[in-house]
Amino acid sequence: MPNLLTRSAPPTKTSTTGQRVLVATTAMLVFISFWRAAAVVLNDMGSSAFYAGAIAEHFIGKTAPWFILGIMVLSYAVRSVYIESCSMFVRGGVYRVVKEAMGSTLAKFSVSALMFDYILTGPISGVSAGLYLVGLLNELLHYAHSSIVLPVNLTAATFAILVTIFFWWENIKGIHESSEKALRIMYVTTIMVIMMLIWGGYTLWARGAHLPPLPRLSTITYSGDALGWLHNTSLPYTITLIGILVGMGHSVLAMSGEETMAQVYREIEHPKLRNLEKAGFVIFAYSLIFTAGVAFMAVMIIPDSVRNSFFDNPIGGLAMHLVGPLSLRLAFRAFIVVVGVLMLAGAVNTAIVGSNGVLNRVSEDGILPHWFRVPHRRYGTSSRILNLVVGLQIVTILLSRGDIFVLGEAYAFGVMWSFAMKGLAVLVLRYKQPGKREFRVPLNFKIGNTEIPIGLGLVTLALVALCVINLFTKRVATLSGLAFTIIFFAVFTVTEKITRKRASAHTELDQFNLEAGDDLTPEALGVRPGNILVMVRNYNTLHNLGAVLDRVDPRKQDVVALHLRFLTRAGSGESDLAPEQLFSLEEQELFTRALNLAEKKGKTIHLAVAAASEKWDAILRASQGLQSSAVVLGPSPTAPVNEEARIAGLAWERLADPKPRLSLEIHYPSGPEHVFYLGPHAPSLTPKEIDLLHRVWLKLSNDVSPEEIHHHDVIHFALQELQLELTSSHRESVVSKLREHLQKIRDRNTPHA
Amino acid sequence: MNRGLTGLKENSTYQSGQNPNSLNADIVVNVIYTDLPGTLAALQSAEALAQRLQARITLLAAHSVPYDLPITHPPVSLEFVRRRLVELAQQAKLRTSVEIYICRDRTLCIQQVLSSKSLVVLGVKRRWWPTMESKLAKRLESAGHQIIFVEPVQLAA
Repeated sequence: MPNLLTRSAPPTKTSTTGQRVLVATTAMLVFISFWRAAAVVLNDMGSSAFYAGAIAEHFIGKTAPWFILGIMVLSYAVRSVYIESCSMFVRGGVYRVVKEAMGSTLAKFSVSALMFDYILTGPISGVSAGLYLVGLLNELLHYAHSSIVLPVNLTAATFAILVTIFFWWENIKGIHESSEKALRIMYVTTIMVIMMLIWGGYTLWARGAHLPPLPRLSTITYSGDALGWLHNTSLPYTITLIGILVGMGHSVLAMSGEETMAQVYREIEHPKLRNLEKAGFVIFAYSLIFTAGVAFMAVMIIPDSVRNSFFDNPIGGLAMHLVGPLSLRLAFRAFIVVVGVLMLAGAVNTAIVGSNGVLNRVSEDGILPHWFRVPHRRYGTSSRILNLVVGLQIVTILLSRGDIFVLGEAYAFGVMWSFAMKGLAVLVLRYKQPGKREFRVPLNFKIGNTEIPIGLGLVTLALVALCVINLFTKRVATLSGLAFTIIFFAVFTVTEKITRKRASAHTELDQFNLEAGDDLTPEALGVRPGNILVMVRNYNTLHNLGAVLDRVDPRKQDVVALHLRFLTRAGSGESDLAPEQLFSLEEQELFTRALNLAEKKGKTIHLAVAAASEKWDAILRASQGLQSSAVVLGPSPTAPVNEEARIAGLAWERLADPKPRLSLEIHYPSGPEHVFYLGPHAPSLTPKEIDLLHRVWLKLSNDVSPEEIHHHDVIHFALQELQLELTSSHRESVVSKLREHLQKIRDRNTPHA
Repeated sequence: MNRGLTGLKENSTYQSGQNPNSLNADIVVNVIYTDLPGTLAALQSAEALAQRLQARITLLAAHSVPYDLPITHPPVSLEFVRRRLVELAQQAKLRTSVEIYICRDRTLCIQQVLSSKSLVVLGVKRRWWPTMESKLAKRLESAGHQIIFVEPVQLAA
């Protein structure tokens, strides 16, 4: 009895009087292009362009754009770390990678830092959106000759709280707009960026301007709150490296959001890693132009005397200082505010959704009690986690009183530590799991057998150095970040100890629904005829599935991964086994690994499990039912390849008519493959055989001239003659000659000692 | 574009005494889950339609999952969704299949799931401004599907 499988929650069976209800779930995963993946990441990362440059300038003066540029270059290197991490773990968030590399304690610390990052993303984005809005409103009130001036920080904080509450309610209801929205927001943002570059470029050409001063100890001007505990030391004023690190530390917000790359990797289409690299490049180029471009233009276009007043909405200030009529500039500023509010409000939602996701994940891992995941009575969402997250965000907004600089300072803590932990984890994995990788951060050397990953080491060192310098310069961040992280870490550790005893031992395995079906058919499995049937037996030997996924074009051909569960006489009994009996923990692990492999290659597979008592009968019956064109399997541990093929041929003969034409591929883990054809098929001729055929054809074409003769006529004639001889008295002699021929081939193929 | 991973289709409710084979298996009246009152109204309307056409009813619910969450971990508990849809499906007297899809894009998902020129019943309150449902209906209509709107309030009245 074959069973169709889907990854999802366990099957639900509800019985009512006279009724039987079985409800099913399908995960419709659509692999996305690198453009769309880049749009999803940029939606998150691009929002920081609205505040990062101005926050940096507030702390370190006019040299800030160079530091933002430096951070954008660093983000390109961090992108490589993420790509290497994704090449190892398809579902590789910070928690998973750090846990694998450095154990669960540091993983919990990383998650705590990540949570701090998420919790802060909401308030900083909401307050920034509020600042843009209140900036425009005050400007409009001013031009309308009104005496009303809205209190900037208070209005921004109120707006941020309202936006947060709005998205809290949306998340409680569980309503999510189409993901197409990310792409649309990026279209509108791109229009805004292009307009700003052209208009800003024209302004610079018309008015002329100077580049911001290059960062040197003499040009970096620290604000009163820029140095934190280093304020009373001479280090930032005397050691250039310290000065540069302080500047970079105040600019790191520019690359917040890059961690989303790990989230979208799972859904990028084939070729996955190459597409991730492309997406990474698009993200880098876009954010370089947008974030660094805004920072440079703001310094070069907005006069020094008034720039301070636009630190809370730098792009708005930029719009107001472009050349052109006031009405046009005001309209452009309004457009910027609309785009900014859309993007930043989206970031508020992302922060809530992201925190909810992380806490759900740690709760599933047994680190948080199940109590947090109890679904909302009316909407079914994890409302307790949402309440906790949104509660913390509102408290943060209230504590900051809408001060974007305080929020920015604190935000950097979470961003930097989660990046640094990720870099450190990938570096540790170079030694802990030194195997082959599809991608490595460049600049690797070897001394003997020891690898020296210079590139990865330098990136990690830079990230850790920025974390350390921020610990000293950002008092608010250090105190609040450490307090938050320690509280979360303690909660995680205590609750883990309590819940671990009750937690399932196999939480990392995917859950599959089972659908019982009488037959394996293309319709039942949702595949097209001509599909490739891959036999999967052991989760450590999925190389045959990998080889098929490497070459198959999923638009043209489907791949079915079939596992046979062999039933012994004692086990089979008289009645069919229930789907749950067919699907043990071993099968669950096997299918989880198969799905991981498919996701890694960015290609779709269809899963099935079937009960069987005889291997080849079951395989060929399944391929017949599914109308497969090829069966692919690994080598048998007990029989040589030719013997396997012979048994397969005999089983094929036993199939009911019409027998399918099939190719049988046996793949070795080391690479070579053997292909056999079952049923009538055109043989694949060697060059020698083709040459022989051609020579015979040449001779005969002269002899039978003017009759026209083709190569296939030669074959047809020769086969007919052979058939006649086999039915005549010469049969013995023909068979004996054939034996001699086969012996010669075998001798030729046998390597001599 | 690849359609991924899987397919547990299933489900159905069989009213005792009714022979599901007597229905015309080729005609399907698709009800798209919108909200509780809307879907209930749509189901009642679809039932009347299905009886006349000797058709079967499929209740389709597509739940979009933001990219920040794994697709297999939707924000709304699947168990909860299942329970709610089973309760809804049990209201219908005819055979009703329930299909739940979790996806990244609701509109795209529904478009992929519906076979060409499907008959779709949508229970929505008409608004003068564009809503998610009205945009969905527009996309489905332009893809060649036949949409029947049902107003929950009117039906209740």
